Amino acid sequence: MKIKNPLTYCILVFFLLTVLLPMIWGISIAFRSNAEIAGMSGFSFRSFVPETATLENFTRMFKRVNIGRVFAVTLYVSLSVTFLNLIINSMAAYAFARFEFPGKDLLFIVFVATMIVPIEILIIPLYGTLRGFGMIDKLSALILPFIAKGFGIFYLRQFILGIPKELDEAAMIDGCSRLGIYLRIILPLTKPALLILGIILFLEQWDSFLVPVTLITSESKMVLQVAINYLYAGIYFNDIGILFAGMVIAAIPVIIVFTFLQRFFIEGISTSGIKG
Amino acid sequence: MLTKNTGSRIAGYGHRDIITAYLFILPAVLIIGIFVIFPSIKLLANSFQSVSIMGGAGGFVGLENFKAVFKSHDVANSFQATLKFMVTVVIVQTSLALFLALQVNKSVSGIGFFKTVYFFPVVVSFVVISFLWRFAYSRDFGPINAFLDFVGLARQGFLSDPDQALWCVIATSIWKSWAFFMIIFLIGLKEIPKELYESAAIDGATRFQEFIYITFPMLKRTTLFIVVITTMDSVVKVFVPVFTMTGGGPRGKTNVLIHYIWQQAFRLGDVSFASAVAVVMFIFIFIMGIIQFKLGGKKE
Repeated sequence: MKIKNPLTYCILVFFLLTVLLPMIWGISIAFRSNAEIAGMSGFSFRSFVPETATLENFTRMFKRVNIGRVFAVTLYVSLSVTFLNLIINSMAAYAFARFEFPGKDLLFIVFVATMIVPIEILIIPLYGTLRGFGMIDKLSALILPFIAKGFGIFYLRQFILGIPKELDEAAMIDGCSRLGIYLRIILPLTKPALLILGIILFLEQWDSFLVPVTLITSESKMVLQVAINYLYAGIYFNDIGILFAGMVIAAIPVIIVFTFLQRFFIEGISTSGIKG
Repeated sequence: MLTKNTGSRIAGYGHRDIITAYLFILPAVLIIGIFVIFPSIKLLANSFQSVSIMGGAGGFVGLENFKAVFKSHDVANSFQATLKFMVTVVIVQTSLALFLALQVNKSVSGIGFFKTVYFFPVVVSFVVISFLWRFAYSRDFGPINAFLDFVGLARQGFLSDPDQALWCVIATSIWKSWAFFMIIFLIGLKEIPKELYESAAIDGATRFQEFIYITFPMLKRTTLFIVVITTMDSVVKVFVPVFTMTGGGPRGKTNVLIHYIWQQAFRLGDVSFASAVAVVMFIFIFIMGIIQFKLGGKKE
């Protein structure tokens, strides 16, 4: 077979290697004993393949952190935030798309404007607010403040505006209430947008680090990204293997899910770009 | 039946519906009001007061915090690091993303595979990516230094070298995110009408002319969008790599504003000073955005 664009392939393969080689190196570290890691210094294919593959880093990591609980806590937080966001945002979006009421435009502008306040800055005053409610070091601090989002309301409203109003009116003739219209017409027809928004929100929560590392102090409430940082503490005992084992455990599920649901991921992630 | 229908539609915008609408919005108003709008106002208020993280409220101090911000050597240093980070990432990452989007857009076989792998760093969390690179830069067992040694070059300090550390964090940041922006460029490329290229081919345009006269002008909006987002991200989203890779060091060289602000608030407890820096940073991002939109709009 003749390759049509040799130069293009060279470029593509070059960048493929810049992405893959560091990852392969990292995975290889997770399967090496710390003695082997300490002895590494030359550059050969051995930089990427362990001499004697071992699972001891993983067994030590499982002893250090209760990784099952970490995953459970992370899933609980991420799913709660995602699910509640979808409900609250779609309710507000429905009201903005289908009702006339005093203060509608102002309220909408304020909601959209909240999009430009980054959480990295907001966390400072938010800490004070949450302490006032006695929520510091509670999982609710990771959930409650984040279950409604200007971006979600904006995005869903745009989508609902595209649903023909005649459907609402027809249902109203049949005696359907506003709540009924929301539940039986708007929600089912908004499913594609809800799916994409759900993926964005879930990923955002799954990767969240700044908020939990600032608000949570108990080990028993660690989320995944914080647990990785916690494993890093092992470095003081020269235990690099344990950190990389944790990283592999954290990254592999995401990569597997991504590879299978690629289309949704890419659509979701490129939509999230819109929020700025 | 028809008359009843019109009747209910008129009633559809009556009192009861206004109440229904407010009920639908209420949860969002409560959450966003309590946890976003109220704290935002409080941040602004704090910047004019003397407050500590434990809530010890001092009084109104006017512009004292802002005066301290503009006098602070550390803030100037952090601002410089942030600017370097921003300018480099905006230019290098955007060019790289566009360049690879053009390559990937050529319909060569197996392109799906390349795109999938390119996206791996985008989906893996920044915490994992940062730790991976933190050790990849290591002097002893890091593969980069091993490679330099292998080809006969001197081993480098990278993250421990004050002159190199910031560039290393920038490189990691670009490594994680370029594929994301490549995908946005690809969406922009797919929207360019094929007819433009066909007529250019009839007129005998070269590949280079095609790019200068068709592709690039047609991508102007996408590029503007990407530049605006990258500017904001490069100021705000760098907290994780700095926190995990360098902690702001060595000698404060990687202590970008967002990390500096966090340190001031949560490590040193100086909330009012941190708030003032945050307000200044926010205004800076905001102005950058407006300038970019103005410049981008003018060219059209």
